[in-house]
Amino acid sequence: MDSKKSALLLAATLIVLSGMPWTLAHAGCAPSGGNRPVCPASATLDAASFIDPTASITFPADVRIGEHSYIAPFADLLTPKIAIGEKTNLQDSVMLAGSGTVTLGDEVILAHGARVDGPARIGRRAVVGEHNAAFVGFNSYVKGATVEHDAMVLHLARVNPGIVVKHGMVVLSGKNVTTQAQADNPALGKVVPITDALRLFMEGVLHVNETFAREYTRLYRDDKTNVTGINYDPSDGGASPSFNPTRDLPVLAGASTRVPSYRNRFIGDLGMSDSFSRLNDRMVVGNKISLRTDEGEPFHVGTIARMNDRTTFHALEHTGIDLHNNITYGLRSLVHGGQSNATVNNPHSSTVMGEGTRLGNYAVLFRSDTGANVTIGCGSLVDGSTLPAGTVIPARTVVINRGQAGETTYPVEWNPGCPTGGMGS
Amino acid sequence: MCCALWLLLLLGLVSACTGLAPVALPQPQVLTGLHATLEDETDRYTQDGVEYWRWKTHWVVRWDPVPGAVAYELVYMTSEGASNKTSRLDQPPYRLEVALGDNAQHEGMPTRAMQLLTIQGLLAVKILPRLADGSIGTFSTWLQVGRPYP
Repeated sequence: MDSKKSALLLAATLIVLSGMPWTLAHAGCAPSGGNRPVCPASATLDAASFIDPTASITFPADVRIGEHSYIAPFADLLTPKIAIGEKTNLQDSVMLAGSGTVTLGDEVILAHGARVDGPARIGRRAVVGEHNAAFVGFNSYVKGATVEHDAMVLHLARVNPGIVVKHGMVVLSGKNVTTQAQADNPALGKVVPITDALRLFMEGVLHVNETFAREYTRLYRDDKTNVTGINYDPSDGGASPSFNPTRDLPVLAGASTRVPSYRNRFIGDLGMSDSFSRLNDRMVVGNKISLRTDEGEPFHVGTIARMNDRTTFHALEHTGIDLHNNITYGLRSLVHGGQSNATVNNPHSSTVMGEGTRLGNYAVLFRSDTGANVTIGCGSLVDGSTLPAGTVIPARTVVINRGQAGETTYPVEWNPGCPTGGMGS
Repeated sequence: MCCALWLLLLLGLVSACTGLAPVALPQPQVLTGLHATLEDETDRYTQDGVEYWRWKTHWVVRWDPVPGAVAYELVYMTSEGASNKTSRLDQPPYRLEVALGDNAQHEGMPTRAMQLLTIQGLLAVKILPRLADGSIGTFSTWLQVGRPYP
């Protein structure tokens, strides 16, 4: 082939590829060989993607990851072919499963516990000057469907095979989208239009996770044993005013503790009442648990009654978590700090769980305050709420702003894995 | 050093006797008059004999201009952490679209409440004045986007 024909072929190929979403045909890092946890191993801090060593990748040779992406602890990448774009993040216990290819574009956010079954596509290759981000929320499930760029699936929602959540649309928490009409028409009660404020939220989350990719890479390069087990949180030494200024270790039963060989990930300024020997007892604490205090505020966990597999805590700068004694945490449950009217008057705006509380399987407690002996049923979302002692939230219920102005309660329309009629915890 | 201590002591004694502040220390630039409101705008149209409207809700934050401030910076806190993204504003107010819809007018604004609830859980903002010498004043309190304040 002469050089002119080669040039034409190359140009044609580039034109075709530029119109496609992220695919395996694109250059990207294969997380195999030495490209773990930093992908590629030789990347500069500002280009590196970071894959937590606990993340599981079944077919690493058939996975491609773009720059600046972050894959959090215990993410499972099980799909035969996976393409991940730039500035994308897969948070704790995210699962990519099913058959075919899962394509995640640039600037995609898969929040804690989200699941995407292939064949599926989320987002697209970024176009400069346009809104590119896409979001799938806590414990949500996108099964064989498409979520376009500039679209969102909020928490504990489900999108079913063949559905396209089009750009400009937001699937509400707890909704089950089963027809294309439901995905397109806000009048049917499952979706609302996206707003500039939600776009700003997604941009912010992307910045946070780009910082994690860079700073976990730095943490690893300083000492390769820093990024496993019970260990330090990342820090840029105060270079960025919005990021954690110091590296901290968890404190277990009063003792600063670093155990890189521990099976779960306990990260940063995390105070736990239990001793390491109790936390190492599989009858008390299960597996694939990520308690991630990345941004350095106090975070206290009282004695644990039982913490089931894939429990996730995430505490943030300026907000803490205060979990009292004898609490039971369900499978794939999530406790997430944050400011709300329910937490604003607590020290550090902490999310609080009272003594003896039970958080069901797949349940999410988000920036709320519960009294003692509260039960939050399987597959329920409690957001921005104050729950008095003894409150029972039934399984598969969305509760927003309980005890505050604007209270809303409605059912989760699908079953993430709860026993029928039970609390599932 | 010794003279400076005596001077401070003397100023303290004078102030104790007179009730005046002993030394005029530089004061942080605090935002006053801070308040946030929700403002709706509508655009009506008729289609097939039915009256529709496109509606939008903006969250509007106002504050008293800070003497000496050349701009205001907005920093963001998401439910996933503090963002290093900032926005710059020459002067108040700050306006942000927080809800919108397009539906039959008799339905009102059916998704407005849910859109406001959603964003309130996800995003907060602080405002800080940038002074001419490049320094910054004290941040405002965190404001939950989409929620009126105070």
